[in-house]
Amino acid sequence: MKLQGKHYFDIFWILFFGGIMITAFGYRYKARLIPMVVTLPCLAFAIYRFIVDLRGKEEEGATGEDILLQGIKEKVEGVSVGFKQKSRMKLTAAEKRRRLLDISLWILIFLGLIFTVGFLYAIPIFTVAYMRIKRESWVLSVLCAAGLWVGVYLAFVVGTRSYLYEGLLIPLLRNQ
Amino acid sequence: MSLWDGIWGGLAAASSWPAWGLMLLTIPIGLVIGIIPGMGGNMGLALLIPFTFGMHPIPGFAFLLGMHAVVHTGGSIPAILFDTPGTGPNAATCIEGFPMAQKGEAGRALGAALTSSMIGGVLGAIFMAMVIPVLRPLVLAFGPPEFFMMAVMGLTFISLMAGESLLKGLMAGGMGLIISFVGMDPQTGVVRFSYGMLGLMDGINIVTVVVGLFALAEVIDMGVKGGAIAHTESADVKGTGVMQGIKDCYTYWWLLMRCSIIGNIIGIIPGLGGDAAAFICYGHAVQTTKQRDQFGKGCVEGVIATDSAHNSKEGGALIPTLAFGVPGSSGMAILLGAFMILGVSPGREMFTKHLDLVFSMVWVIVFANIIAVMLCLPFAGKMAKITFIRTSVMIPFILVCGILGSYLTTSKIGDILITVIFGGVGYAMKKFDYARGPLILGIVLGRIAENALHVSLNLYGLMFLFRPITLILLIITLATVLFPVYKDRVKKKTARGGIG
Repeated sequence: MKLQGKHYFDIFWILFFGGIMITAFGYRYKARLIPMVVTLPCLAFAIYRFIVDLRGKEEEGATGEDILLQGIKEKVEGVSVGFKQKSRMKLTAAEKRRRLLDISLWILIFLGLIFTVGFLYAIPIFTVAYMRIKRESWVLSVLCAAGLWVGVYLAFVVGTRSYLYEGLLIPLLRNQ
Repeated sequence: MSLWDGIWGGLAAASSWPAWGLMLLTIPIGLVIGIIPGMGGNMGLALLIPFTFGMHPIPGFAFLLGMHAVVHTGGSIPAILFDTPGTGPNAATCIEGFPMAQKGEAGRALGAALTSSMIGGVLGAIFMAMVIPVLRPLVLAFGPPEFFMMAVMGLTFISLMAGESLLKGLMAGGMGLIISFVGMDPQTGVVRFSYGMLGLMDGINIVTVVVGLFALAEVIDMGVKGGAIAHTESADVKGTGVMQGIKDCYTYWWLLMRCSIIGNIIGIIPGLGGDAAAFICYGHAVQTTKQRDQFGKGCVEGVIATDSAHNSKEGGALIPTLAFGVPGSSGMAILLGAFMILGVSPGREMFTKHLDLVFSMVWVIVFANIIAVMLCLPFAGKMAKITFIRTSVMIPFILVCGILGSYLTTSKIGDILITVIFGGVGYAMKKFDYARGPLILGIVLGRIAENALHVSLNLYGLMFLFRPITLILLIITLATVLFPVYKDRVKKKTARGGIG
């Protein structure tokens, strides 16, 4: 059987609660009591959920709200409650994976820039790079980057006098 | 502080320059967030909370509530013009609003929707103000045992907020509780779940998690979906008719009043939320109308009923949050997190020391609703075009604001890594239909519950469970847990009987 995304996410929950449980065992009684009381049933739910997903069954009924809304919809006879929405172009699973990888990489690039050159340089560099690669025009990319930079600078550096992280590279260059 | 002092103090504070100016700044933000489908008030709060750091509570809440109170008002605009609800509750507005737009009555539908949103929001705030004197003695009678039991009761509301699956909701709530345990245990002095990392010894800040779960998860979702937000054909906005829509609100004033009251009551009940308020009031309008055959074809009564309901809900939802620290929705849970950042504790303090803060919230909701509608009425058509902004333009803005906000809340650079991790978790939760509200509820109530439990045990031992109010709350809690199970059994039994 081929594991799908939801199975991996189920495994994540099991590992999370399992890891917390093992860690909690190491604490003294009073400190571990409440975390254990919470974790134990959650771990059981996560394992049950994984088994259900593996079997491919859809379990559990609707919540109170769903039942309530369904009841109202049923009572409102003769009224169409479905609204028409022109559907988006269907994406293939491979295309979705590619886009997910793409946006995840962009987020990591932004983080990398922050850690390297700090917020004040990372914000315009990231904005221009992202928008240009996504085929936005030079003018719009530069305008958005400048707008964001000015907004951040005025609000935090001038306005609230907050310290914005400068990254690892900028202090090094300044000290040389 | 007396009640009158609170009312006038609240008005003076809400009308003072910093509060007023900040509110004017966030009202358009709230409208824009409402107009853009998929963003919603929770993400707006996640992005704005970090900016309140260091603010005084009253301007801080004017800043947050000014945005949050008008999100659904903005959401009605694309619902009517493009058949695309800006937020969940606006789906009910589509039913009558879009057919009206197709008939060439877009102006009338917008006029009715915006006016009823405004009146609903104002009435919701007034009802909230009227409930405060009744609640005040009750809240003052509460001690740590009662607050512990209220927090436990709040946790059982996870079952109502869980969305499609109760188990998934409980798991998310469990994760929230565990996050609330990270850091120093105040009772034993043991540092829990920090894994030797200095940054985790003070615990995980709620904003760090909220920004990841809502803002970053939305960025990832936008990146995957791509294109523009709205993928619909616009209705022709023929004719003006806005004045006719406003007049309709006066013609159907009694319906508007009834739906505002129903919406407010639904807001007080944790877990039901704006979707339920809008659909219940729509159903109420259909059942009580004299022109039932017009419903579904573009009937203005349907628009008035839904829009007055979802805005009046906000005032109601604030009542349990302020009085008992029990948020009834994920939005209120995030707002409760903001209370802690601004150094305000819900409950007793709110109704004694900070009564002016409570009433300033009432005034902020009133002002925000009025200003939002004054902004929307002339520019609704143009504002709706925001939905066609490409995600490639929006992503840098949301990502920068989110990451920066997460960093500024604690000034710890390591926290942006936690935000990114929760961004991934939030996206997966969204993709695989896990409600994110219970996770926030778990974080907020976990801390309150654990502290109150330790204080109660130290003061009264296990006998704290037998104090009169605690016992009543315990019974209500058990009923909240057991009633859905009982109902489910009855339903299954009936279904089996029907088949047999």
